[in-house]
Amino acid sequence: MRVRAAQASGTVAAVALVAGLAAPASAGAPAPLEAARQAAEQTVFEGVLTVRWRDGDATRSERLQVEAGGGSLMVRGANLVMAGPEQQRLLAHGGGGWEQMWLPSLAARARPDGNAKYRTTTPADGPAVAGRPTKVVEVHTGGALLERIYLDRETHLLLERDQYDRQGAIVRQLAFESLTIGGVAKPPTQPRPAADHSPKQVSPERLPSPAAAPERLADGYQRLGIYRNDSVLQVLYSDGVYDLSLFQQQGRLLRSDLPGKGEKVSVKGATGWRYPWPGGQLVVWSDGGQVFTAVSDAPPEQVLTAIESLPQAPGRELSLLGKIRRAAQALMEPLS
Amino acid sequence: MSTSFGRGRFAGRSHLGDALSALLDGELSPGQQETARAHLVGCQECTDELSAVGQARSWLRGLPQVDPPFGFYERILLDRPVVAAPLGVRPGLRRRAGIAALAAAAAAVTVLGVGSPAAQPVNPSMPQLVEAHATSASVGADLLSKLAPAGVPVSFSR
Repeated sequence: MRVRAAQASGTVAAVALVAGLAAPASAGAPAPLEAARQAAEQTVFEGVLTVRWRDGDATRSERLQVEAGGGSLMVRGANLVMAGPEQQRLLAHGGGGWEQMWLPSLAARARPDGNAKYRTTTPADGPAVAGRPTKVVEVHTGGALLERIYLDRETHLLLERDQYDRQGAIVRQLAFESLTIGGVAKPPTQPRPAADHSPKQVSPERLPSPAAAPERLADGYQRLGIYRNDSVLQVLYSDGVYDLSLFQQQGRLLRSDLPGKGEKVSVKGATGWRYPWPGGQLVVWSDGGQVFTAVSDAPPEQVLTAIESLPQAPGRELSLLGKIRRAAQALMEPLS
Repeated sequence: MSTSFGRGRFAGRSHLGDALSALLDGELSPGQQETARAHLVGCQECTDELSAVGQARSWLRGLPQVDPPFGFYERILLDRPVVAAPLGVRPGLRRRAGIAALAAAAAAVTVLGVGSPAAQPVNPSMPQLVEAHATSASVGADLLSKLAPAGVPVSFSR
């Protein structure tokens, strides 16, 4: 059940009032998530964060060292990831050099109002996380619990985020094991000049077909931006809480090239494969001479609903007979 | 990953190199496969190379088999010289020119097969796509929720 916008805005106002949180500057995430966003950017802290996620029948986990200060945030795992000032994003694979993944010039549209789709509960006292008192907020949609979010009572920093499946079991968790707030972290320093792996912004008018990047997908997903990196087109969507990237590459998909553990799913009448990753899930499929990869932190059923609403890919792959005919024609032309 | 392998097939190497082809061809022992896969988890260079090698193999596998039309060889080699032989050129040279033309034609088929973007098999680099998503989706959102998971390298079992 979706909450009407008018009701939702009332709920948000109430939530912000009760929690004592600043109202978001613009439409986007519900107030508690917006407060967490601001806290992560403004709070000086360091700690150990554990990421747990379900991978088939197993649960996997990784520990990450996180430190933030001076407007930057650094995550140290097997990969190093950094959020620098002015929305820079950098990444380094273990032992490798830094790669510039996102530049300040790559503007994205503001996220849509998540309150139109999600209902957040009034913050209530929650259990301590990493020794710090919390306020807990639940995120619901259609009457189903999607998440429990534990915010630091003092700073509103996100201390734990539990995502649930339809059966009410936790499928993904992000939680601080230890945390020190204020005055101890040495601000992460900007790494040396990095290799530029950032995408280029693409204007919708320059796409071969508007069908490649619809402005809206089902279930409230709105387009934030279109980017290209080499031959890969990325269309970024958001519903105000979750984000979805749709990557497109010309060509066809060979099942034999895909990792074996994927879960078979139906996408637009074709077969696709779904894989979990620490932050969500990925679905890959092929349609009309294009290979699509959707990457998202949204619940699985939302991702499938959103990608089902994509228009039919305009291009069609040549059949083998077509390829042979074309090759033979090109071959014979100079000889005849 | 810049560490060297200590022993066995990979001794003294810091990257997998030729072993990547052997890995794809299933020529490594289970132990070597495990070592190689463990290295791939932390080494983007080798992961990229593996992806490129896999893609090249896929392209080759995807090439169409083209049967020449009836009489094609005869026209080239006997009746219709492709390359006009200058006066005084011996018949043997003409035959060689025909063979060269055939080779060029075969190459053309190969190029057509590989160069057709619509027909080209694509092996999406899932770890790179996940990283691209996490870094772009973290802009204007909670950094801990959206960006931190990218600190964990993505690996999928084959």
